[in-house]
Amino acid sequence: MGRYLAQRLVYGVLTFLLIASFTFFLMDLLPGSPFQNQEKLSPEQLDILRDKYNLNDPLPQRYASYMVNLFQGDLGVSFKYDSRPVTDLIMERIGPSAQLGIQALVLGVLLGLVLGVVAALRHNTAVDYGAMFISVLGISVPSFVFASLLQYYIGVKWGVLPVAFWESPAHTILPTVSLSLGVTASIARFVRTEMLEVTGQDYVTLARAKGLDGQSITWKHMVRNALIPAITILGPMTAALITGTFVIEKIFAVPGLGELFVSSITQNDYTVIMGTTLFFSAVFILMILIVDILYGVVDPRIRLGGSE
Amino acid sequence: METILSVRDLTVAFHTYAGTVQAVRGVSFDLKKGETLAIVGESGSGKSVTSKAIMRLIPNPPGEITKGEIMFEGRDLVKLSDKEMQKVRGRDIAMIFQDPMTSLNPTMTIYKQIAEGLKRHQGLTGDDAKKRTLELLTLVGIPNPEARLKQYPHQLSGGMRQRIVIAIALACNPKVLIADEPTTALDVTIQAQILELLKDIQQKTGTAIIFITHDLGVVANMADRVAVMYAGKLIEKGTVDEIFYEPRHPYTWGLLGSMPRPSDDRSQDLPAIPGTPPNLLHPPVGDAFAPRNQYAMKIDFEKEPPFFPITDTHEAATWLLHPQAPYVEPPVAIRDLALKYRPDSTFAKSLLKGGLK
Repeated sequence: MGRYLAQRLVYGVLTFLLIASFTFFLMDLLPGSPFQNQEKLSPEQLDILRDKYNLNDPLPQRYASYMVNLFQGDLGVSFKYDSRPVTDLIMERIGPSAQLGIQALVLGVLLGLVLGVVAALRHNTAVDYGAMFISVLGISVPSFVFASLLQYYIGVKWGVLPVAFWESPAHTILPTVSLSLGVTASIARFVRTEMLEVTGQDYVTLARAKGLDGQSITWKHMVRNALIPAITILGPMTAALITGTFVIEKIFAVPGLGELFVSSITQNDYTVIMGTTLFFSAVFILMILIVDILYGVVDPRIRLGGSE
Repeated sequence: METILSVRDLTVAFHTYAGTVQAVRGVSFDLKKGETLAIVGESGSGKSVTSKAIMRLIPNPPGEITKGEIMFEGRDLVKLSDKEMQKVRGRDIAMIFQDPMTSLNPTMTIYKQIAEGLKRHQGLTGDDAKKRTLELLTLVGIPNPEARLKQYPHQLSGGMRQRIVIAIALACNPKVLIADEPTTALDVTIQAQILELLKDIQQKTGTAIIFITHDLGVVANMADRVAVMYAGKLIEKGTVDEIFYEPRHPYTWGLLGSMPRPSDDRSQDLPAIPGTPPNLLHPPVGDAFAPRNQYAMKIDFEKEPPFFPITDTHEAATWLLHPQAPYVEPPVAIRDLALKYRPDSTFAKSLLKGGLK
């Protein structure tokens, strides 16, 4: 197990470095420059600015110094936000994004799980069709449409919950619900398929032959086995959710990471692009590692590194 | 001997998109205390469905017990509610399945899988459950049982897993054990071990066994009585001796004739029953075996034969046993067996005389 983990960590770091390098070179191909109103600047002024951010150095040299700084935990300073360190910007924004993401994830996974299990148990009945209708709706309706509807009815018309901003727990409800819709939908579909698959397995028949009641058979014998494949999609999903979702953050005016990421691209804020990309990659790689470890917990056949 | 389980006119249908499949068409038999009854037949004859129907494990939909009764200790299992049936399953009637590689839950330890039934039916938990589990593992011949408790199915071989499945079935001392081809998925040496184990357990616990199989060698080794099944019906019932040495139904002749024997001439092809079983989506009129039966008479295609009693324990459903039927000569293999091993039986004598009449 220890050896396996070490190996995976090394691979993780290598992947991270590759992503860092690719992004760095790709970013250099971005059109435009990080400086606004460039046409009003004289070539001399521009040159001074470029010099300040080392943009006049040759690409390999900039790459080398970026990587050296990266290893020291220094992601550089933003071009736009008053030369503030990128790490500070990320740390400032990660809170709301992570909270929103985790809330949506927990809600979506629980709801999806129940919906999927119930649909499978009531296969080919109105309950099943109803659950799958919700699921298809959740997958095909973009979250911003759903978010706008929620804002309009619950926020504006009935005035039950705040429409936007990130201030109190009540403010987090609408964005959480909007964001969890897609999660619920995909988890429900996945779990339903897997549950149906498991229903026909011999060990479920054997569990029945033992005289167990429906509840024990469902939760002890079926759900656990049905969850194993569902864990696969959980890793990338978690990474995507907690690192910020631009659309939902924008609609509900949540000061999160997604918003920072998108604005940095439109403004050619090189260091912020690099910083947020790398942050996302790191979370992603970590999540996949966690999922692999979780596999071993749920499925004893995959105890890692042959620790028998 | 006392009858413990009595199946009467059991009829099971599966409703499919193509139509209703009559998988079991009126099966009746009795199971006596402590005996082993083998149900034999080829694939698709309905033996597994019969056994699952007794446990009420036929998934509904699409399956349904449309007729008949299964009397067990004065109650008709067909009429029990799901809750009542749960108390019967695993406690009074238990089942061993065909494939040990898939019949254990891969994510649960051996201990939990055995103790589940103990907890449910006998309320055993903690040390009591553990003690009983160890007893069971020892009973089914698992070496080093203590170490197995925490293991998962994938850590055991096929033979070991089948022993675990047997331990699960035996957990609550069932009065009836249904073994649905318990050795089919195992290799021959392990097969023999598992059969020995089942016999041994029957001696120790006195449980009655319904043994479902298509392997006549296993039947000869295990069974007290045999019921031969074809196209969803029983066609001949008798003691193991009667079925092997005095068979009366042409289908039983065909089955026995297609069994390889050490004395066989290797240059000859092994005899086989021509044709295929009927499609039970549209069960044939008359005797279902008639189209494959070289002895078939006109009436076989028109009217279904009833059971004709031969002895107290032996009966067969074939028109050949009707008083007006002509005498037919059974295949050579059947004749040889009867004359060699049971020369004094009425069957053997009738063979020599060319008919009983």
